[in-house]
Amino acid sequence: MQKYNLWSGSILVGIMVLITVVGFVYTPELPNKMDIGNQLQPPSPEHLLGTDNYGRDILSRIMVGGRPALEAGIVGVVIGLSLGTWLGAVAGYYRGWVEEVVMRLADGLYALPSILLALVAVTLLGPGQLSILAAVAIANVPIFARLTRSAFISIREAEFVAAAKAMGLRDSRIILRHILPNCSSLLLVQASVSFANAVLAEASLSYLGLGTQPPDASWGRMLKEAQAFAGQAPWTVIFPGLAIALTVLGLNRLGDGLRDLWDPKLSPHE
Amino acid sequence: MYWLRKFFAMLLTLGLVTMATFFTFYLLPGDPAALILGTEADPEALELLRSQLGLDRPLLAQYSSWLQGVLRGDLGSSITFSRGYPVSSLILDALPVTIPLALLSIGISLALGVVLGTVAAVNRGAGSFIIQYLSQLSLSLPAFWLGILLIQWLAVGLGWFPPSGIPRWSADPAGAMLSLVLPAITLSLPRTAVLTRTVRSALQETLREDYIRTARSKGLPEKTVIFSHALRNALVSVSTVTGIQLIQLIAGTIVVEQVFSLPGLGRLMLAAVLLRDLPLVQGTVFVGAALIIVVNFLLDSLYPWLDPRVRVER
Repeated sequence: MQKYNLWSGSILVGIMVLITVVGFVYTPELPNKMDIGNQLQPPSPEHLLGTDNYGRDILSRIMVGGRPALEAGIVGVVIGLSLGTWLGAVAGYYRGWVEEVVMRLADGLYALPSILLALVAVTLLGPGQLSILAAVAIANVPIFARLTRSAFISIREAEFVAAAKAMGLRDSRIILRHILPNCSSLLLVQASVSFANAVLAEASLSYLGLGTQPPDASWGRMLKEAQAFAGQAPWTVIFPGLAIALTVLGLNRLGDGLRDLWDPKLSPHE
Repeated sequence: MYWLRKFFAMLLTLGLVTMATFFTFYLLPGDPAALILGTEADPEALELLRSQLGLDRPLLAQYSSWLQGVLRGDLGSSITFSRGYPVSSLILDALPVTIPLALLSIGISLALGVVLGTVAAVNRGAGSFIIQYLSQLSLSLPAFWLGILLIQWLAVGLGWFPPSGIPRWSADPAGAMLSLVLPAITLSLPRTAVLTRTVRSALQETLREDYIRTARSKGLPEKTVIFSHALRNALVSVSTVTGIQLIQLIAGTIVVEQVFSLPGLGRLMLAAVLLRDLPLVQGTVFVGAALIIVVNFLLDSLYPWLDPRVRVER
């Protein structure tokens, strides 16, 4: 029971990633192929999840529609984690005015929801995946910076850091090889939560028409196009929504599971 | 003193926000006129738009005239919505949708958060169940999907609520209120989870305090101890979290207003961005930010009432 979150999370995430990866080499139909005359067909052996208002195969579109979401998760988390961790490490290790400057900036940025960042990005770069990647990456920088800084502040006082300093090691080596590895579990838990939020952000922004543009598929975009047919053809809204919800649920459970595994003290549900 | 200090801090933040909204969109690379008309636009049209927007004047002069306009309640003219229509009128039309929506949604999540959080703090078993499932559910369901499903089930299916849009408050107040119920529920789910968690941990902490032991040992019923002694103290940290949640809430209205076709501030902001209507983007972003700042000031002013310790300090 203890590892339930970890297992169910990994399985859900594994399935959704597998579906997307298979989508690169095989889909039952071409995801953008319209079939007038076969519009809004319910699930059947030919179209396992039915067809949308242009007769496109929903299963095929779900298989490729996860790409922008997972890409936002990977790119957003990798950039946010690298940049944020670096800033947080410098702030937490050196303290002083560096810390003040970095943290005030991080606090200001942290107050902005990623959707507002995305609106600014779209105003500048125009709608599209690039704006979303930029917004998700920038939104993640302050999150990782704050996390790393607070971990560094306590770890830098540890005796092994004093020992490393006494041995005359360079600051960069102390930061990278001695302190940072102690924060890795913390950062990995946050990475899975950030990944989940990035998937949700990409879906919301594509739903608003700010991300993936037609005719290409993205889970959020599919919901935008299907909303008008929700009553007539419920499968057009149920399956893309489920794809988003299951992916995000899986990632959140994975995060909770990792937290329980590494640090029971941090668990929100004792 | 406390209020005065908070008031000036609010004015200062508002001033910073005017600068941020103004300069973000004007200091950015590229020519705003070209951004609006596209790079292949006719040079004469570009020139005309530049002088219309005042872009041929020095930047500080532009900022000061924009700021003077803001102080007079004039946010410039939209360049897409029937050209020249004042931005302030568009925003004033949108606020009667967004403000009641935000208030209703905060009300729902506060009420649910306090009830569920109290139950969770008092009853351990139910507590971890509520916290775990509510937070996983609310963090995983995309708001717009939930909204679409609620429309199908409660509005189209059972006909309890109108599926989309909103009548004017003056024409049909009851209908307008009814139109906001589903959007408010959709909007409040993520915040309910956060508030439940906050109420629970704040209450659990308060219940360990000495004065609670005193209250119990003098024989007060558990209900009185929880509701009139512990909860008020726990609400201090809840009001802080509510302030932070407001920003998320305003951002959330952008999605929810789109799902329910509500002509509110979030939808106006989205349209402004998609149409590249810079004066309208600036106006909506500024008003959104100002709303958040003013409400945070009002919440700050509640602290001394909730927590007398704040009055004594400084």
